[in-house]
Amino acid sequence: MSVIEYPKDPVLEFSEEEKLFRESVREFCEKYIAPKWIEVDEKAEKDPMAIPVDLIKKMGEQGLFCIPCSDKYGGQGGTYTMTTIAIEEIAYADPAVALAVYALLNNGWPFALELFGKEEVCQEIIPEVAKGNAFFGIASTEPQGGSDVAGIKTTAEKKGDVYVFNGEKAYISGVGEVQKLPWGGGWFLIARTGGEGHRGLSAFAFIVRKNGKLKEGWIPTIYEDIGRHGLTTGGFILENFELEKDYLLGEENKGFYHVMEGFNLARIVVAAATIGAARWLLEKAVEWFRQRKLFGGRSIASFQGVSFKFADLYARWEASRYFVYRAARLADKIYIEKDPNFSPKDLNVPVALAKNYGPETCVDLAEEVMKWYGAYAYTKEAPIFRAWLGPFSYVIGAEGAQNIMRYIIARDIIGREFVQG
Amino acid sequence: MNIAVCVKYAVDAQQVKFDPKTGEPLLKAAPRKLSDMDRRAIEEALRLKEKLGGKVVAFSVGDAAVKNAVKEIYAMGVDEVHIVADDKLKEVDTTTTAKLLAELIKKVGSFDLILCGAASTDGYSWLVPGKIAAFLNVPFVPNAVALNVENGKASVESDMGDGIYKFESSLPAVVSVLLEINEPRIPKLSDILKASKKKAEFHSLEDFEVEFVNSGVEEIRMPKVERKRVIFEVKDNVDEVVEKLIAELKKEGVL
Repeated sequence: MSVIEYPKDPVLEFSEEEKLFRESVREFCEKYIAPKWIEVDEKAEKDPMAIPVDLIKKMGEQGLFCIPCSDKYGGQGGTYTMTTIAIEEIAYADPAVALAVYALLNNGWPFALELFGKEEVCQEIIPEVAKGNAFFGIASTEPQGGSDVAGIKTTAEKKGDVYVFNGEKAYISGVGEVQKLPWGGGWFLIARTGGEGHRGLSAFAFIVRKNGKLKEGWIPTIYEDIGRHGLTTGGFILENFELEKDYLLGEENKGFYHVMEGFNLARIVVAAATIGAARWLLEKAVEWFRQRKLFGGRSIASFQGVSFKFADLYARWEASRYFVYRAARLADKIYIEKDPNFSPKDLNVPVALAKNYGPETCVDLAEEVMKWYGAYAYTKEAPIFRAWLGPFSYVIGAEGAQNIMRYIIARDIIGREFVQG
Repeated sequence: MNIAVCVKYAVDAQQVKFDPKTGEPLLKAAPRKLSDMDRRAIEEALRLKEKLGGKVVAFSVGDAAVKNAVKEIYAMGVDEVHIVADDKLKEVDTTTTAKLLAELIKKVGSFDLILCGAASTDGYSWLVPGKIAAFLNVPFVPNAVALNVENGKASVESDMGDGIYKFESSLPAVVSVLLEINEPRIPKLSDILKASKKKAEFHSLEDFEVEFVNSGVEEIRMPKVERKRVIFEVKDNVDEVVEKLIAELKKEGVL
């Protein structure tokens, strides 16, 4: 039984299928993820390449990847709202969010691949990602920075039937997974095919390993992260790496626009992961309040310095959930229902709100919960810190820096001409 | 191999809350779900179908809310669902439930095997499967923890409390299953989406001649036990505290 009796909600209503799906994901997570998440985090903290391959395979068998992708590619044929539900539940079961991030990347980016990729390329990659045999994420950031997408330096030069890549990508999720999963995988990668600025960029289905065979010219490094250890982060250098021209996504030199659509989709589920982890944190806090007594048997929640702070954070969590599911419903209008009254640009502000609010709420909540727990939370025996360090990656800036989110909100609400410097 | 499975849309006993004043369970507000052992019965039927072919048909009778179980049953992979959903069936006796299920099964077709959960998550009477067998006039093997069908016979390992017994039964037969028999599959999204397109066949209660039996079971409730805490501070004079304690216990009627 849930620790918290959440208010009934006729506004954020879910269909019968969505409710049933949430129940089924929850049952899967309770059975296979919740008992393992600390072990996954601990093992990979010692060895970043301790990737939970078996669990990823099991999640694939349960249909937790490529949820919004078409069933002709082995996807689940679901909606973006359903994807969001799954990610929220996975993060609730793994509040260090490694498995949630694995899942969100392998839902959002294969879906973006389906939007812009050629039929044969989708047929080749998506079924393997769906089964948990391959990883497909995003490779945009470079050593000089991530937010300045238009300043990307990696080049892709067209030579006959191939593009030849040179350059370096940094802080990329999945560098270990593409090497360790049975099929392999790669990324939705952005590289320069034209002149300077955002109009010289193209997107690629950048597969570095397929059918277990690594391609030449890809030189990876694995980093040591401070949190969400079950998912690797790394970088790679490209030295004359060749990719067939069919792997170009969408139009040449339109990659900036394509990746921005992909980022919007991915950010919804990033925010979903943080509201899932935050729900776990809220319940840990309430459990603690109900048992922790001080100063002659008073519950610590009887001190308003504690309970009012909790109330504020609870309110922020509910607001974050609204932001997340509004953005997911909008994504369904645009990409699933293809409603002509909606366009991809309609996602900008709702997604920026969700990505901005969700991770910050989760991290602020984690910090407070640790303080409410006291010294115990500063030991590794209490797992709260794992739910702090994992989601913290999204406050630092993964999948879009927080101030970039604020800029998008300000730009679209106030007006571009008043906001640009 | 055609298999009938009887399922109950039961109160989720783990989610039941209690009235803090009276201590009464708040059953009406409690969420419902497919009974745990019945999900195992569905799983076992699906495994047999995967091995031997045929179809799996689910049957459920109960109050109007039973219709809410249809999608969940279909999502597991069942071929057909037959329902009698009528509020007159709220909290009916096990004999009535078994009789109605037996009549419904007979109406829909002939089956080689009828699987049931041994007991429901809420009622937990353990009576319905055996009664269904009696009404269908077929053998009954209870408490299966392993089941195999070969050469027209069911081989069952049953946990009878004092050990595992091996039974062999001719078919058709009713077999009730325990939680240990398998791990039921968790529906995938694609199964749920397929299930949402399927419709159950609803049968009217009026189509059956069902006698509402009163088996004379009386409802006995445990009254809420009030707890009172009295703290005596022991300072210097222990005798005084003992006197106080005795006086208090007398006042409460304990002594």
